[in-house]
Amino acid sequence: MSDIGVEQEEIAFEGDMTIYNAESFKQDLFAVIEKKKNVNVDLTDVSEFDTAGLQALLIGKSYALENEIELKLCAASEPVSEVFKLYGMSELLESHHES
Amino acid sequence: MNLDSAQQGYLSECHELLIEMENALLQLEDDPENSDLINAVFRAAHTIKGTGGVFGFDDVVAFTHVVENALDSIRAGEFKINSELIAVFLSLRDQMEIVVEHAVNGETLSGEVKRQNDDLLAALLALTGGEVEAEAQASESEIVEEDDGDEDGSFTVNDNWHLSIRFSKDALRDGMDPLSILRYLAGMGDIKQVVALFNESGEDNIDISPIDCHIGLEIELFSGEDKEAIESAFEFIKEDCLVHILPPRAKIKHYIDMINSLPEEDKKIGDILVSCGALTQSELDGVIDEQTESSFAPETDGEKSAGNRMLGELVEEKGMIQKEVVEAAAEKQQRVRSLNSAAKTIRVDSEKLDALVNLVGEMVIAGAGTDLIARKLGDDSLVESMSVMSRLVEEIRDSALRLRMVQIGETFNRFNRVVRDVSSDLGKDIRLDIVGAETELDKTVVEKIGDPLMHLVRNAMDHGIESAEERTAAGKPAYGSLQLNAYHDSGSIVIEVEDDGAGLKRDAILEKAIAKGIVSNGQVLSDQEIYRLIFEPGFSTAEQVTNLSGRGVGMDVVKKNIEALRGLVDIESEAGVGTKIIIRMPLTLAIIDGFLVGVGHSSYVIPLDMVFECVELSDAERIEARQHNYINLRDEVLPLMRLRESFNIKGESGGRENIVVVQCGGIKAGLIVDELRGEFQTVIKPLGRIFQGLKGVSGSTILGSGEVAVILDVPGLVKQVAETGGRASTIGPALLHESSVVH
Repeated sequence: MSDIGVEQEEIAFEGDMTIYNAESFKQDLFAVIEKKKNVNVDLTDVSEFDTAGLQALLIGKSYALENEIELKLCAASEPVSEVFKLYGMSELLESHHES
Repeated sequence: MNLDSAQQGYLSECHELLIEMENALLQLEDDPENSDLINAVFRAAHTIKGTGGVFGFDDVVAFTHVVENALDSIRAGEFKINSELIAVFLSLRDQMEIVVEHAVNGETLSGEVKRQNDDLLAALLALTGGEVEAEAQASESEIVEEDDGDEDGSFTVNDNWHLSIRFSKDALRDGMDPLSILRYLAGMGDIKQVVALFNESGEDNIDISPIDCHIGLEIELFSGEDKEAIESAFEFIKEDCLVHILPPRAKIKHYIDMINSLPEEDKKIGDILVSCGALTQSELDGVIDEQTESSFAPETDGEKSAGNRMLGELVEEKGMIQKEVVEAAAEKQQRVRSLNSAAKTIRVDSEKLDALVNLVGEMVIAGAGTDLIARKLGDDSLVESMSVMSRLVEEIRDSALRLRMVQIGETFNRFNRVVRDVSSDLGKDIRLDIVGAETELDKTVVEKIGDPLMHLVRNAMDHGIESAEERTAAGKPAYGSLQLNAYHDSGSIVIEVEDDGAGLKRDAILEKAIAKGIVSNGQVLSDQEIYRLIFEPGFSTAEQVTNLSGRGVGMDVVKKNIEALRGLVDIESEAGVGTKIIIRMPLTLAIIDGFLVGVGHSSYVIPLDMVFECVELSDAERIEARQHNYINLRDEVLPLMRLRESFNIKGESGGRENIVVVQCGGIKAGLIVDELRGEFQTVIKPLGRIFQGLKGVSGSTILGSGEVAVILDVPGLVKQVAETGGRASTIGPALLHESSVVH
């Protein structure tokens, strides 16, 4: 999952990523980003995903940009890629480029 | 509230609105300029459509939409209402009812209904369409010119619908996920392109919360659906969110307006529109040019100044893009209005009212019991406070009963339409006059009086009122008059149906009655009695059976229905002047004036209006009665029934017995009782289910002493007497003969 070199952080989200817990995902993302290393977000095991979940990731992306690091969304599960596709944002997902 | 009951609520709301609509339309016939009435019609159509949309009743929305549009242009004064148009609207109203019922019942429209829909809408457009164009040309030359303007500048080349949505911050929390809209739209057509905007207001990443909605969408949708259908996707969010829907090949100016109203920077939006394919780059350049031009152009009086044009565009925009907003506002107003009117009237389940009336009845009884005890104790101050209490309780009872009272006007108003339709069917000009619409009576009575009235009204129009030629020949005005009149008269309500027709044909009726054996040949009857013959079963004077009268429902059924409500029918008629049918009904079915009688230790209540007279049973008659079960009362056979035997009461009666002569449906019978206890106002309490099959008993009541008294079912008893003990009737001899045959 990593062709990016040394300074690499992994974070994996699993289960539901919805309005009920999106806030905590945002906090988790921020904590990782604040380590100032590039981040890979593993979305393999996200089962439910809604707009709030999407916004949490988008906020993370934007925060990463602000901190001048790279945040990649990797290995999106089916529900996640469906949402990104509906919003016309599939190119934000790494898998999109790979496949 | 589950969906089912919500839909039922919608149905009943629609019925009310349609009635309002009909009334307004009928009034418009006399007062075509009245804008309040036009508004009322429009509002009804609008609300039916709006609420129908919420339930996703597409057929209702589609049909009502066209009607609403036509009404809207009438409202805008684009053309005037005339009787031809009213006739079409009335048929449209009826069709709406059918369409709504289909929708609520979950039925798809049959081909037949669809065809009617199309025919009616075509008829409407034929009346309104042409005139709209003519008007438009006359008044708004500016807009016409714009439409004719160079194609490139005015229209885009985009084949897709362009949807622009800015969600409110609370959208997610309100359960309105933009995803569901995207999914819904995907079902309506092909989403060509979505550009999602995120956090365009530039909130700080630390502060921003993922559960606020920061999403904006610019969507290119290729779809064959109409605007209405696409709007429906936004039904639930349009009040809080900024929604723009631009049709394929929308005018450039609509894009300009949209860009102006979006929160983001104009240039940025422009770029987005280009990137999602809504506008081409050259179109966008045109937009920017036009915008700068319009904002810098000095205002002149010239008719084509840019400033003026913007104004015109704004007006037009109202019709197009901001429709959702306008509709939302209108709906909001509607809701506020209905809240206001809710303050004036409350809908209550009639069962609750019945329960209240019942309780109050109990209280009256308990009060009477307490009063009795107070008197027994002889404590003056207690007696006095009890009498105050009794008075209050009686007032409460009266107002509780009044809660069930409704004005008869609503029932009467239905006949406006009936008279209009029937008179055009018959080719007669008949005017309906309603008097006393505000007269109140019990809701149950109102519900049940509708059918008999309908029959009487149709009858009067069909048989009573003559054709215009006959009328002019008779020196009467060519139009016939029909009057419905209601008023209170000593504890009952009187409803009159009066026409100014030819009156009843006395001789024809008599002839027929003799032919049918209802009256014997030599009998002498007063005019009044002859007229009453039309209420006899199997009697119809109609020489020709029309589609109105050939329904197998005669006047006898009308009479029976009214008597079932403890009402009376009478008739007055004068040849050449007209006929008046008078219905007298009790105000309420919950209380009757009763006549209290005693047999042994039991009390019975006989409805007072059925008591004809009371006579003492002499010793001689007593013996006669024992033998035959009938006596000769003033040379008339009076069949008798001994309540003591009928109700199986043990013991012998004391010294004297009395006969209460009751009359029902023209038949008299005598009930033998021990004691006459006088008038008694009775709160009727229904019998329990077990007793419902019981013959001869219609209900019960509780006396002040706490004793239960049974209310006698006089019609039932009289029938029983007539079957077992012979019959007597006001129309005597023939029947007298019959009764002697029995014995």
